[in-house]
Amino acid sequence: MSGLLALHNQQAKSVIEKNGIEVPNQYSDLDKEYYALRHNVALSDYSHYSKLKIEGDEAFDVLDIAVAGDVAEIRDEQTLYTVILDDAGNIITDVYIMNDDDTYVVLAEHVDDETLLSLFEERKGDFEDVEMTSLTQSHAIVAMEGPYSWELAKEIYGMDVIGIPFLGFIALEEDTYLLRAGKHGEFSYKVILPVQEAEALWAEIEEKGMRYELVKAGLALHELTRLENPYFSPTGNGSVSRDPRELQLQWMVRYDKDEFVGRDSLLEKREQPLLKKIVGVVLEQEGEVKAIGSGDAIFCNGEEIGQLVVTGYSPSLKKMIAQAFIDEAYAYAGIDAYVIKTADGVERKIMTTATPFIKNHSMIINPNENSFVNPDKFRNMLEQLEAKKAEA
Amino acid sequence: MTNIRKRVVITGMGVLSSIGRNVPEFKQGLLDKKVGIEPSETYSEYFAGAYASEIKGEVDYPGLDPDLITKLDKGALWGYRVGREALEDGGLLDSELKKKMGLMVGVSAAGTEAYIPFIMQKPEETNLDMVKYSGSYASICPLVASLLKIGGGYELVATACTASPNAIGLAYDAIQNNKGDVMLALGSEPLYIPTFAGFYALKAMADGPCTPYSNQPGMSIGEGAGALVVEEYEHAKARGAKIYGELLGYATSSDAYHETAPDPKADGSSWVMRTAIENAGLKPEDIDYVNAHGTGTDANDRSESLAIKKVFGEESTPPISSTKSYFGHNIGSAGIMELIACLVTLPEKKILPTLNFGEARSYTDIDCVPNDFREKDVNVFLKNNYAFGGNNSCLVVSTKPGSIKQTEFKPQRVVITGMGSVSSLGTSNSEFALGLTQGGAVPTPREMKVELEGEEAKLLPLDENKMLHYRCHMVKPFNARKILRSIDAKKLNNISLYALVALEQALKSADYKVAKTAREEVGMIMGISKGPTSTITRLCESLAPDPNNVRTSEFAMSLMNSIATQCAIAKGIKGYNTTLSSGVNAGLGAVFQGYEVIRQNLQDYMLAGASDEDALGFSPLMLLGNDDFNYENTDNSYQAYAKDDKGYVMGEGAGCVFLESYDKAIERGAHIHAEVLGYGRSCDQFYFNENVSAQPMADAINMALAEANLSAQDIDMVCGTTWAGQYATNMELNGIKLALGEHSSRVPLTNYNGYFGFVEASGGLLNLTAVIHGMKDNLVYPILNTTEFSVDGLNYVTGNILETQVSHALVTGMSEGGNCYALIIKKGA
Repeated sequence: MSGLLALHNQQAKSVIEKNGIEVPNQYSDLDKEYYALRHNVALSDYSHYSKLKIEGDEAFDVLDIAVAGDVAEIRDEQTLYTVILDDAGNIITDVYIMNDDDTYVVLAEHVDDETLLSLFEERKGDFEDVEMTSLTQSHAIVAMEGPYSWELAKEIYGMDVIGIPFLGFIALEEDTYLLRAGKHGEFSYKVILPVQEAEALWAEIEEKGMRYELVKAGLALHELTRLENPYFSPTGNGSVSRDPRELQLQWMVRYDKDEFVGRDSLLEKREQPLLKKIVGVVLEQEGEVKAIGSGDAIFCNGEEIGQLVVTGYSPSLKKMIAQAFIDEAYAYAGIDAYVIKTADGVERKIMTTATPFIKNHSMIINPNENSFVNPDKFRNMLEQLEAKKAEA
Repeated sequence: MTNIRKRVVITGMGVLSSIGRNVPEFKQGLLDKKVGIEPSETYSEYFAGAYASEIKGEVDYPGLDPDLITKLDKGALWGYRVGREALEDGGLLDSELKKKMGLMVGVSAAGTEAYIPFIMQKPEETNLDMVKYSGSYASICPLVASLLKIGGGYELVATACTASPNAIGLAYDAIQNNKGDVMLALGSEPLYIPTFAGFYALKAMADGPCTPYSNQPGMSIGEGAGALVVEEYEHAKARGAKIYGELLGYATSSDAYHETAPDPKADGSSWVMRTAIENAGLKPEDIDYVNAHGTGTDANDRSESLAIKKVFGEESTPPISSTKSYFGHNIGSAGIMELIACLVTLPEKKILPTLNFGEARSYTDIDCVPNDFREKDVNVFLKNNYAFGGNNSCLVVSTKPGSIKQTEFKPQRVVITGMGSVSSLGTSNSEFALGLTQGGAVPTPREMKVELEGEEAKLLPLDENKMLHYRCHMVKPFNARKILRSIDAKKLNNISLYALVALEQALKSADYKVAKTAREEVGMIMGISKGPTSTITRLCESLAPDPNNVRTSEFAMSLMNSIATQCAIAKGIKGYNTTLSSGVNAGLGAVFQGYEVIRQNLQDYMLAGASDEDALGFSPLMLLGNDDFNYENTDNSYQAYAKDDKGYVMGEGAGCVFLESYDKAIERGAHIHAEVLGYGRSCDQFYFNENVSAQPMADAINMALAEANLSAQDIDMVCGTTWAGQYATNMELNGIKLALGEHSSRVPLTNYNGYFGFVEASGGLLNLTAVIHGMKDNLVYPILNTTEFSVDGLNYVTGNILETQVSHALVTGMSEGGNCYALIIKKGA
């Protein structure tokens, strides 16, 4: 129970069950939700994330073995975004690991509560001073996301919000956190809080968010935004491979760690040539093309070199985009020599590209200088620059 | 029982700046709104569009032999010059008071000039005399002390941009603890190429004179020096001294956030202001003006303006200005020069403007006193300074001495409840203790290629392949991850790693965890000698031939305060924070200051540490002036105090003690290893000749005995820490004899350097740790290897471990420049 379900049932267009928890899939109109996330503020319920608190003197040791990233990199109020591998070196899920004064809170979107717990329980071994507590049912996650979400969060939580770096967080109260992390390239603040407090916060954000033209959003929106800003997804890029090399997610793995689950297999794999990897693809023609879908084959001079994995329409680019799984020799960004054959039998030109596909609006907003609601300030740095030029 | 804090006033000033070469000229420059930041004479050759505030042309040094001037670096010469001006101004130049006067110096890029030819690959320009006299980081202290005949001991604060205000703070504390009525505090910072290149490559510099809080962000670098005579008020009044202002209190802290960037939440920079104000017994509304750090960079100005708003409230900030708009950022001497600027203008009811002020930046919604002096009667003001690594400092000063009520404090008993060490004996307390009972570690054979030619090469015992063979007490490889766990040890250089391991152990043995809710309760002082030599070497190697290619990644980590920074970040330690780079035995200085801060009830808990990595330094030139180095290359050749002195065997490692108030220790049920009863510091004033005087060491011991309220007969053991060489050995041993008199022939005397080598900054702390380990079981470990001693009449412990009742121990030590330390501890419960 997210504590917000009754509300969602009344207001949301559709609700979906994820990891055994029901959250909104779509609140109102997808275009409206998209616009809010990319231009002002969207409000979402992410309570379906599995949440696990790991504490005790040996909490670090268990995490150190269980995850592929280096937990030693994070100090108090810092978060590590990494992956958990299986023994074969394949990705099971991505995770956020928050270090709250050497107590760790793990957030995982793609595995349920029981699985997440077991991934760490299995690594407990001889470590005795470790205690694990699930926060999945007891805690909700309410998220403010979008280019001006920092300003709204600042109204609620004060000036310090501006100082939270990406993947940083503030511990608000015991087991209550304000985490800056998102998977869409825009400013994003997730409040992890006891379920019984979620409704009041939701209401407060809705009320204070009116000035920001806040729109409530569901998970369907995030399927799209994550195509534009790719992250690991079991149903997306993860459907063709779980190998961090093929998925180009090696940056989430610290090979120089002495020990972690999947390390040996991964090192063995590294000795083998890489055959295929994921690359971004943009359809040359503009507009939405319904005929494009996952599995569509990609050709170079008539030779099949790969297929599309996950596809969709990018409202920002006004083009179809996809992640494609392509033979390694062809998997480079900036090549316009390939075509895809779509379900309607038509050959369409594509261009491979580096990801993320879009330039996020948040990149041109400086929380110290810009504002959505203060008429004395410019909305973004571009406007600011243009005004300066005009003045000169 | 409470003590009333002494009033501490400023009774003399000296300055050297691009806008004035003495205080009257400097004052006129300020009043004329003279901007000393111009196209750089020295650095335009290397860097396009280089601006700086430089001391141009010849500088005179009254009272110095012209021949001597060629042998000293500018850091020492400028320190001498401003120190002399301040003493003269204070009517103390020829005063007997100098014999007991302490010297507290703040620097950043010290000990650099002698090596510039080496760094810039122009070996033919090497001045070996300068290497000899000014070649160590701390050499400014013995040089200035000797040239000005100051004898009350010294410390060198090396916290980069906060160094000189932190040095003033040390002087303030020494007066509070009756260690002298008059102190000289100074900052001296000539601009050298590593500093210029570092800031330039970081793109932190403005493309003209800096414009703090307005227009395009960027800093202007500068050079200069400043000195203050800091004196107890009644003493100053009694001798009819001119009084320029009163130092009401101060604070220093760490952001514990990032190696270079200030905490964007401005927690540390606001905390330090609040704490300084509180230490002065005041409230924010009592502050009339803030002289800001105001470098002009976006990161500083943004964070500082946020900090000011947090302290005073968004709508009620007092006037704030940045004096750096006149003469740039003078790094180690910035704070003291800016304070002098305030002290010569505020009494005339004029607030210094922020010059070059153009269009306010978006966050500049504070009153920056733009461009013109503001007529205002200011009594109490703050002097802020912030440094790389998030070191923050704030001085609270009154222009009307005696006008603000004195503060009180309840003096605290100070105890040692935790210890940690890293050495050739191991990386845990149990390994260290075991090593002591087993007769120490065997030094590792080492060799080094020395690229010296001609006569210089003949000065060292090189083999036919130009290899130098020697022994070193190395720290054996260990799995840092197992000890430090949630710290990314791969990012650390060895000196920081050792410091952190020792600190972690000290915390653990004290059974103390730095609580998230009370990070400011804990402070830290780090003692450093040669510092991060591996990082400094990499930085220097990247400077030639084109200094534009300097490795910026090494820049911040080459600073002496980077070790304390790494420790603070790793453990979240946000309280009192300073680095003493006073050279050999700097760790003892760290213990003194840690003790002082707790004694005055300013912090509950302090970590006092020191660290050294394989410290041959970045240049073999360093060995040329070192006659005390042992080249015998055998297991047992290190013989402390030997009649036939063979020199010392170097060691590396770190030491750390956890200090807390007795009340806190009892409250939390901590085991008390020892209680600190008193300390003393004194220095030789004869750096230039070999005449050994026992008096400074005796003075230091007597000072410690006086504070401990003990007599010589109460001392049950003495642990000396001197490395080797006739000068140091005789000074320490004869000093002990002189101070303890008859008792010196009976009291067991030892020196533990033979167990883990001579570890420059940390040696004193490691010896102290060994004393405490022994005390627990009433054991005194013997001096290793020595059979015949250089000074007769002392009761050296040799051969077997001595079992004897030890309640009070005296630990002595000295620096390479003749600074003497004495510390008295009492066995814990």
